[in-house]
Amino acid sequence: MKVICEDPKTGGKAAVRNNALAVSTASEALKANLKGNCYSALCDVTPAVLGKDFFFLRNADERDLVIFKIEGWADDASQEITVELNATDDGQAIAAGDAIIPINMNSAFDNTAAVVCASDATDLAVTGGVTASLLAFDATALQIRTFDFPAGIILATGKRLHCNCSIQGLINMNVYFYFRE
Amino acid sequence: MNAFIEDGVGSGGVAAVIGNELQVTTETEAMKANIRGDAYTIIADSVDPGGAAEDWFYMMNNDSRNLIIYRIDGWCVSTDEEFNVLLGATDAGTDAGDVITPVNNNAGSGKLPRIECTSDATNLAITGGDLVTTLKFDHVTLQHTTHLFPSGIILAPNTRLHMEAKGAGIVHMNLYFYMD
Repeated sequence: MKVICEDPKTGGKAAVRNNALAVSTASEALKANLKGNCYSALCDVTPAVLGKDFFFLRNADERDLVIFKIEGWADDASQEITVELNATDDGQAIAAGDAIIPINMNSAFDNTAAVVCASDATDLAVTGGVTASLLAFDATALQIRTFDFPAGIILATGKRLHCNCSIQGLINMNVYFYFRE
Repeated sequence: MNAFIEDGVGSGGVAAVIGNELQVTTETEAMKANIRGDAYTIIADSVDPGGAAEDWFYMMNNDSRNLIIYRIDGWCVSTDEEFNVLLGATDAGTDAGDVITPVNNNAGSGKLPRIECTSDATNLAITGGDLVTTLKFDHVTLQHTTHLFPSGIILAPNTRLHMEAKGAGIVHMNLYFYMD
Protein backbone atom coordinates (compact mmCIF):
# COMPACT_ATOMS: atom_id res chain seq x y z
CA MET A 1 0.00 0.00 0.00
CA LYS A 2 1.29 3.42 -0.90
CA VAL A 3 0.56 6.35 1.38
CA ILE A 4 0.83 10.06 0.84
CA CYS A 5 1.49 12.43 3.75
CA GLU A 6 -1.25 15.03 3.50
CA ASP A 7 -2.22 17.95 5.68
CA PRO A 8 -5.95 17.50 6.40
CA LYS A 9 -6.31 21.23 6.99
CA THR A 10 -4.62 22.58 3.87
CA GLY A 11 -4.54 19.62 1.52
CA GLY A 12 -0.77 20.11 1.16
CA LYS A 13 1.11 16.95 0.30
CA ALA A 14 4.68 16.06 1.29
CA ALA A 15 7.10 15.55 -1.57
CA VAL A 16 9.59 12.71 -1.98
CA ARG A 17 12.75 13.73 -3.80
CA ASN A 18 15.55 11.32 -4.67
CA ASN A 19 13.82 8.69 -2.55
CA ALA A 20 13.91 10.91 0.53
CA LEU A 21 10.83 12.34 2.21
CA ALA A 22 11.00 16.15 2.12
CA VAL A 23 10.61 17.53 5.63
CA SER A 24 10.80 21.00 7.09
CA THR A 25 14.13 21.75 8.77
CA ALA A 26 13.13 25.19 10.01
CA SER A 27 14.27 25.59 13.61
CA GLU A 28 11.63 26.29 16.20
CA ALA A 29 13.14 29.75 16.59
CA LEU A 30 12.76 30.45 12.87
CA LYS A 31 9.16 29.21 12.92
CA ALA A 32 8.43 31.48 15.85
CA ASN A 33 10.12 34.43 14.13
CA LEU A 34 8.05 33.91 10.99
CA LYS A 35 4.99 34.31 13.21
CA GLY A 36 6.36 37.42 14.90
CA ASN A 37 7.10 35.72 18.21
CA CYS A 38 10.87 36.06 18.43
CA TYR A 39 12.76 38.81 20.26
CA SER A 40 16.16 40.13 21.33
CA ALA A 41 16.76 41.79 24.69
CA LEU A 42 19.90 43.94 24.74
CA CYS A 43 21.74 44.87 27.89
CA ASP A 44 24.57 47.41 28.08
CA VAL A 45 25.52 47.98 31.68
CA THR A 46 28.52 48.62 33.90
CA PRO A 47 27.96 47.04 37.31
CA ALA A 48 29.87 48.98 39.91
CA VAL A 49 30.19 46.22 42.45
CA LEU A 50 30.98 42.54 42.16
CA GLY A 51 28.48 39.78 42.76
CA LYS A 52 25.47 41.89 41.87
CA ASP A 53 22.32 41.15 39.91
CA PHE A 54 22.57 43.19 36.73
CA PHE A 55 19.94 41.57 34.46
CA PHE A 56 16.39 40.41 35.12
CA LEU A 57 13.72 38.76 32.98
CA ARG A 58 10.25 37.54 34.01
CA ASN A 59 7.86 35.81 31.62
CA ALA A 60 4.45 37.47 31.84
CA ASP A 61 3.11 35.60 28.81
CA GLU A 62 0.88 32.54 29.01
CA ARG A 63 3.30 30.62 26.77
CA ASP A 64 6.73 29.24 27.59
CA LEU A 65 9.57 31.66 26.91
CA VAL A 66 12.51 29.80 25.31
CA ILE A 67 15.98 31.37 25.36
CA PHE A 68 17.99 29.87 22.50
CA LYS A 69 21.06 32.10 22.41
CA ILE A 70 23.02 34.48 24.62
CA GLU A 71 26.04 36.42 23.44
CA GLY A 72 28.11 39.30 24.63
CA TRP A 73 31.37 40.72 25.84
CA ALA A 74 32.89 42.31 28.92
CA ASP A 75 35.72 44.74 29.44
CA ASP A 76 37.33 42.56 32.08
CA ALA A 77 38.63 39.26 30.76
CA SER A 78 37.96 37.66 34.15
CA GLN A 79 34.27 38.49 34.18
CA GLU A 80 31.98 35.54 34.90
CA ILE A 81 28.22 35.60 34.68
CA THR A 82 25.92 33.38 36.69
CA VAL A 83 22.53 32.67 35.14
CA GLU A 84 19.88 31.86 37.73
CA LEU A 85 16.36 30.52 37.37
CA ASN A 86 13.31 30.68 39.61
CA ALA A 87 13.96 33.73 41.75
CA THR A 88 11.08 34.39 44.13
CA ASP A 89 10.70 38.10 43.53
CA ASP A 90 11.52 40.88 41.05
CA GLY A 91 13.92 42.59 43.43
CA GLN A 92 14.42 46.18 42.31
CA ALA A 93 13.88 45.37 38.62
CA ILE A 94 10.67 47.35 38.31
CA ALA A 95 11.31 49.96 40.98
CA ALA A 96 14.88 50.89 40.12
CA GLY A 97 16.09 48.99 37.05
CA ASP A 98 16.42 50.37 33.56
CA ALA A 99 13.58 48.80 31.62
CA ILE A 100 14.53 46.80 28.53
CA ILE A 101 11.95 46.45 25.77
CA PRO A 102 12.81 43.37 23.70
CA ILE A 103 12.77 44.02 19.96
CA ASN A 104 10.81 41.88 17.54
CA MET A 105 13.20 40.14 15.13
CA ASN A 106 10.69 40.23 12.27
CA SER A 107 10.25 43.70 10.79
CA ALA A 108 6.68 42.87 9.76
CA PHE A 109 5.57 42.75 13.39
CA ASP A 110 5.46 45.42 16.04
CA ASN A 111 3.97 43.31 18.82
CA THR A 112 6.03 43.34 21.97
CA ALA A 113 6.94 40.52 24.32
CA ALA A 114 4.90 40.19 27.49
CA VAL A 115 7.88 40.23 29.83
CA VAL A 116 9.35 42.29 32.61
CA CYS A 117 12.96 42.92 31.66
CA ALA A 118 15.51 45.27 33.18
CA SER A 119 19.19 45.82 33.77
CA ASP A 120 21.04 48.10 36.11
CA ALA A 121 24.51 49.08 37.28
CA THR A 122 23.20 48.93 40.82
CA ASP A 123 22.30 45.60 42.38
CA LEU A 124 18.78 44.54 41.39
CA ALA A 125 18.77 42.51 44.62
CA VAL A 126 16.67 39.64 43.34
CA THR A 127 15.78 37.01 45.93
CA GLY A 128 16.48 33.32 45.45
CA GLY A 129 17.12 31.38 42.26
CA VAL A 130 19.25 28.41 41.41
CA THR A 131 22.23 28.51 39.10
CA ALA A 132 21.33 27.11 35.71
CA SER A 133 24.48 28.08 33.84
CA LEU A 134 27.83 29.77 34.30
CA LEU A 135 29.00 31.90 31.41
CA ALA A 136 32.33 33.51 30.68
CA PHE A 137 32.58 35.65 27.62
CA ASP A 138 35.96 35.56 25.98
CA ALA A 139 39.16 35.57 28.03
CA THR A 140 40.21 38.46 25.83
CA ALA A 141 38.62 41.64 27.05
CA LEU A 142 35.84 42.95 24.79
CA GLN A 143 35.85 39.81 22.65
CA ILE A 144 32.36 38.66 21.70
CA ARG A 145 31.37 35.10 22.56
CA THR A 146 28.16 33.29 21.60
CA PHE A 147 26.38 30.57 23.53
CA ASP A 148 23.70 28.47 21.86
CA PHE A 149 21.26 26.47 23.96
CA PRO A 150 20.02 23.54 21.88
CA ALA A 151 17.59 22.57 24.63
CA GLY A 152 16.69 26.17 25.29
CA ILE A 153 16.45 27.74 28.71
CA ILE A 154 12.74 27.69 29.37
CA LEU A 155 10.89 30.24 31.46
CA ALA A 156 7.37 29.04 32.11
CA THR A 157 4.63 31.59 32.71
CA GLY A 158 5.48 33.83 35.64
CA LYS A 159 8.99 32.40 36.04
CA ARG A 160 12.12 34.49 36.39
CA LEU A 161 15.72 34.49 35.19
CA HIS A 162 18.42 36.81 36.41
CA CYS A 163 22.16 37.21 35.92
CA ASN A 164 24.82 38.34 38.31
CA CYS A 165 28.42 39.26 37.69
CA SER A 166 31.59 38.11 39.41
CA ILE A 167 33.34 41.46 39.13
CA GLN A 168 32.58 45.02 38.16
CA GLY A 169 32.96 46.48 34.70
CA LEU A 170 31.16 46.84 31.38
CA ILE A 171 28.95 44.01 30.17
CA ASN A 172 27.20 43.94 26.80
CA MET A 173 24.78 41.06 26.50
CA ASN A 174 22.19 40.04 23.89
CA VAL A 175 19.52 37.52 24.94
CA TYR A 176 17.49 35.92 22.15
CA PHE A 177 14.21 34.17 22.88
CA TYR A 178 10.87 33.12 21.45
CA PHE A 179 7.50 32.08 22.80
CA ARG A 180 6.62 28.45 22.25
CA GLU A 181 3.15 27.94 20.77
CA MET B 1 0.47 -4.44 6.16
CA ASN B 2 3.33 -2.55 4.56
CA ALA B 3 3.02 1.08 3.66
CA PHE B 4 5.20 3.10 1.29
CA ILE B 5 5.50 6.86 1.45
CA GLU B 6 4.88 8.22 -2.02
CA ASP B 7 5.62 11.66 -3.44
CA GLY B 8 2.51 13.74 -2.87
CA VAL B 9 3.22 15.92 -5.87
CA GLY B 10 3.13 13.19 -8.43
CA SER B 11 6.68 12.19 -9.40
CA GLY B 12 6.07 8.56 -8.48
CA GLY B 13 9.09 8.55 -6.16
CA VAL B 14 8.91 6.56 -2.96
CA ALA B 15 10.81 7.27 0.27
CA ALA B 16 13.58 4.77 0.85
CA VAL B 17 14.47 2.94 4.04
CA ILE B 18 18.20 2.27 4.31
CA GLY B 19 19.73 0.51 7.28
CA ASN B 20 16.32 0.50 8.99
CA GLU B 21 16.09 4.27 8.75
CA LEU B 22 13.55 6.26 6.79
CA GLN B 23 15.34 8.61 4.41
CA VAL B 24 14.29 12.22 4.85
CA THR B 25 15.80 15.43 3.53
CA THR B 26 18.05 17.31 5.92
CA GLU B 27 18.64 20.33 3.74
CA THR B 28 18.37 23.54 5.72
CA GLU B 29 15.83 26.15 4.73
CA ALA B 30 18.73 28.29 3.47
CA MET B 31 20.02 25.44 1.32
CA LYS B 32 16.56 24.74 -0.08
CA ALA B 33 16.38 28.40 -1.06
CA ASN B 34 19.84 28.20 -2.60
CA ILE B 35 18.88 25.14 -4.66
CA ARG B 36 16.05 27.13 -6.20
CA GLY B 37 18.41 30.09 -6.74
CA ASP B 38 17.14 32.36 -3.99
CA ALA B 39 20.13 32.59 -1.59
CA TYR B 40 22.56 35.50 -1.74
CA THR B 41 25.58 37.18 -0.21
CA ILE B 42 26.00 40.89 0.27
CA ILE B 43 29.63 41.90 0.51
CA ALA B 44 30.58 45.19 2.10
CA ASP B 45 34.26 45.29 1.24
CA SER B 46 36.68 47.74 2.83
CA VAL B 47 34.15 50.26 4.05
CA ASP B 48 35.51 52.81 6.50
CA PRO B 49 32.72 54.36 8.56
CA GLY B 50 33.90 57.88 9.09
CA GLY B 51 33.18 58.20 12.76
CA ALA B 52 31.03 57.47 15.77
CA ALA B 53 27.37 56.57 15.35
CA GLU B 54 27.47 56.72 11.56
CA ASP B 55 25.00 54.73 9.48
CA TRP B 56 27.28 52.88 7.09
CA PHE B 57 25.14 50.01 5.77
CA TYR B 58 21.57 49.97 4.46
CA MET B 59 19.20 47.51 2.84
CA MET B 60 15.53 47.50 1.91
CA ASN B 61 13.45 44.54 0.85
CA ASN B 62 11.41 45.44 -2.25
CA ASP B 63 10.38 41.85 -2.85
CA SER B 64 6.97 40.41 -1.99
CA ARG B 65 8.66 37.66 0.06
CA ASN B 66 10.45 37.74 3.40
CA LEU B 67 14.20 38.36 3.32
CA ILE B 68 15.75 36.10 5.97
CA ILE B 69 19.27 36.89 7.22
CA TYR B 70 20.83 33.76 8.68
CA ARG B 71 24.50 34.70 8.96
CA ILE B 72 26.76 37.74 9.22
CA ASP B 73 30.53 37.47 9.34
CA GLY B 74 33.53 39.69 8.87
CA TRP B 75 36.48 41.47 10.38
CA CYS B 76 37.65 44.99 11.02
CA VAL B 77 40.71 47.02 11.76
CA SER B 78 39.61 48.60 15.01
CA THR B 79 39.32 46.16 17.86
CA ASP B 80 36.84 48.50 19.52
CA GLU B 81 34.40 48.50 16.62
CA GLU B 82 30.79 47.61 17.37
CA PHE B 83 27.73 47.58 15.13
CA ASN B 84 24.17 48.38 16.05
CA VAL B 85 21.74 46.55 13.79
CA LEU B 86 18.40 48.32 13.45
CA LEU B 87 15.11 47.18 11.91
CA GLY B 88 12.26 49.28 10.62
CA ALA B 89 13.82 52.61 9.65
CA THR B 90 11.38 55.04 8.08
CA ASP B 91 13.55 56.32 5.24
CA ALA B 92 16.67 55.61 3.19
CA GLY B 93 18.55 58.57 4.61
CA THR B 94 20.73 60.33 2.08
CA ASP B 95 20.36 57.39 -0.31
CA ALA B 96 23.83 58.37 -1.49
CA GLY B 97 25.75 55.23 -0.64
CA ASP B 98 27.78 52.94 -2.87
CA VAL B 99 25.41 50.39 -4.37
CA ILE B 100 26.03 46.76 -3.45
CA THR B 101 24.69 44.10 -5.78
CA PRO B 102 24.01 40.80 -4.00
CA VAL B 103 25.74 37.72 -5.36
CA ASN B 104 23.71 34.59 -5.99
CA ASN B 105 25.13 31.63 -4.01
CA ASN B 106 24.09 29.21 -6.75
CA ALA B 107 26.33 29.42 -9.80
CA GLY B 108 23.53 27.93 -11.84
CA SER B 109 21.14 30.76 -11.15
CA GLY B 110 21.13 34.25 -12.58
CA LYS B 111 18.45 35.56 -10.25
CA LEU B 112 18.84 38.78 -8.34
CA PRO B 113 16.73 39.75 -5.35
CA ARG B 114 14.58 42.85 -5.48
CA ILE B 115 16.37 44.84 -2.82
CA GLU B 116 18.23 48.09 -2.39
CA CYS B 117 21.58 47.84 -0.66
CA THR B 118 24.30 50.40 -0.07
CA SER B 119 27.28 51.09 2.15
CA ASP B 120 29.24 54.27 2.58
CA ALA B 121 32.07 55.92 4.46
CA THR B 122 29.88 58.97 4.86
CA ASN B 123 26.95 58.87 7.25
CA LEU B 124 23.81 57.63 5.45
CA ALA B 125 21.77 59.50 8.08
CA ILE B 126 18.86 57.08 8.20
CA THR B 127 15.80 57.91 10.29
CA GLY B 128 14.32 55.61 12.93
CA GLY B 129 14.67 51.88 13.43
CA ASP B 130 14.71 49.64 16.49
CA LEU B 131 17.93 48.15 17.80
CA VAL B 132 17.57 44.41 17.25
CA THR B 133 21.13 43.34 18.02
CA THR B 134 24.62 44.63 18.68
CA LEU B 135 27.47 42.84 16.95
CA LYS B 136 31.21 42.78 17.26
CA PHE B 137 33.71 41.06 15.09
CA ASP B 138 36.87 39.80 16.72
CA HIS B 139 38.73 41.85 19.28
CA VAL B 140 41.91 40.77 17.56
CA THR B 141 42.52 43.06 14.60
CA LEU B 142 41.58 41.50 11.26
CA GLN B 143 40.41 38.27 12.89
CA HIS B 144 37.32 36.80 11.21
CA THR B 145 34.19 36.23 13.32
CA THR B 146 30.93 34.56 12.32
CA HIS B 147 27.47 35.20 13.77
CA LEU B 148 24.66 32.76 13.06
CA PHE B 149 21.00 33.59 13.59
CA PRO B 150 19.02 30.41 14.26
CA SER B 151 15.77 32.38 14.18
CA GLY B 152 16.88 34.52 11.28
CA ILE B 153 16.50 38.26 11.24
CA ILE B 154 13.46 38.71 9.07
CA LEU B 155 13.12 41.70 6.79
CA ALA B 156 9.49 41.72 5.66
CA PRO B 157 8.50 43.20 2.30
CA ASN B 158 8.99 46.97 2.09
CA THR B 159 10.94 47.20 5.35
CA ARG B 160 14.49 48.29 6.07
CA LEU B 161 17.60 47.24 8.00
CA HIS B 162 20.62 49.40 8.62
CA MET B 163 23.81 49.34 10.67
CA GLU B 164 25.44 52.01 12.72
CA ALA B 165 29.14 51.88 13.58
CA LYS B 166 30.59 52.79 16.94
CA GLY B 167 33.68 54.30 15.36
CA ALA B 168 35.92 54.67 12.36
CA GLY B 169 38.08 51.98 10.74
CA ILE B 170 37.88 49.64 7.79
CA VAL B 171 35.21 46.93 7.92
CA HIS B 172 34.83 43.83 5.78
CA MET B 173 31.44 42.16 6.08
CA ASN B 174 29.54 39.32 4.42
CA LEU B 175 25.79 39.20 5.01
CA TYR B 176 24.02 36.02 3.95
CA PHE B 177 20.27 35.81 3.31
CA TYR B 178 17.59 34.02 1.37
CA MET B 179 14.17 34.94 0.06
CA ASP B 180 11.18 32.87 1.11
